[in-house]
Amino acid sequence: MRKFLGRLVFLGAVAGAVLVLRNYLQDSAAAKRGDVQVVVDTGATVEPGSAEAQEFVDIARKVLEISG
Amino acid sequence: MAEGDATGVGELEGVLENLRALSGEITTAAVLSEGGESRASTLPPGVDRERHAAMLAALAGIARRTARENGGSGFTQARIRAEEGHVLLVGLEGGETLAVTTGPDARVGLVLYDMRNARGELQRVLGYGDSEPDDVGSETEGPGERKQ
Repeated sequence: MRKFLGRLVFLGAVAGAVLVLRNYLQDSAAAKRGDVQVVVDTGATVEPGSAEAQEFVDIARKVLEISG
Repeated sequence: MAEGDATGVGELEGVLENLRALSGEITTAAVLSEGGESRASTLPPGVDRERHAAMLAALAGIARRTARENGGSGFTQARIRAEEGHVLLVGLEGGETLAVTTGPDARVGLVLYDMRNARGELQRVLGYGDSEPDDVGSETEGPGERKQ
């Protein structure tokens, strides 16, 4: 029984660590509010929606990566 | 480092180098044509220029699309923040784009101010006349210190 409980605690800890890591990686990759701003020639400042902002950020990341 | 077949490429690169010297937080600078070709850049050796230009052209394309979706005909500037740094775009007359990259801790307002100041000179070299730099927006931080 003690052995079983020990394994259960270990598995729980591993699952928790995986979840924390996954959330951290998702948060760091996702575009946040304010990450992208476009000033239109009408003078308006626009913050694109999350899908479009993500597209901007993904391409910008590649630009920064290859720029060195 | 001549790119494309446009006249004044050396002069364009000179303006970009001056911009980089003025704004030490800029890591690379490039001018793209409306079609997405690189007109001039300050990329270090070993960088895949075509790929770099293609990526920047994609960003400029999305920025134009965003501008059109919001009632404009183009964008005057765009800033994109990623973990690795910033990519900043300033639209030029004739559809060209000035694009720079910076590190993550760059003072983006100052860099944009310097980019807008370089815009007039770039447009003169590109043959669009010597337009005045834009009025400095609210993002600037101590513009008086930037005049050289």
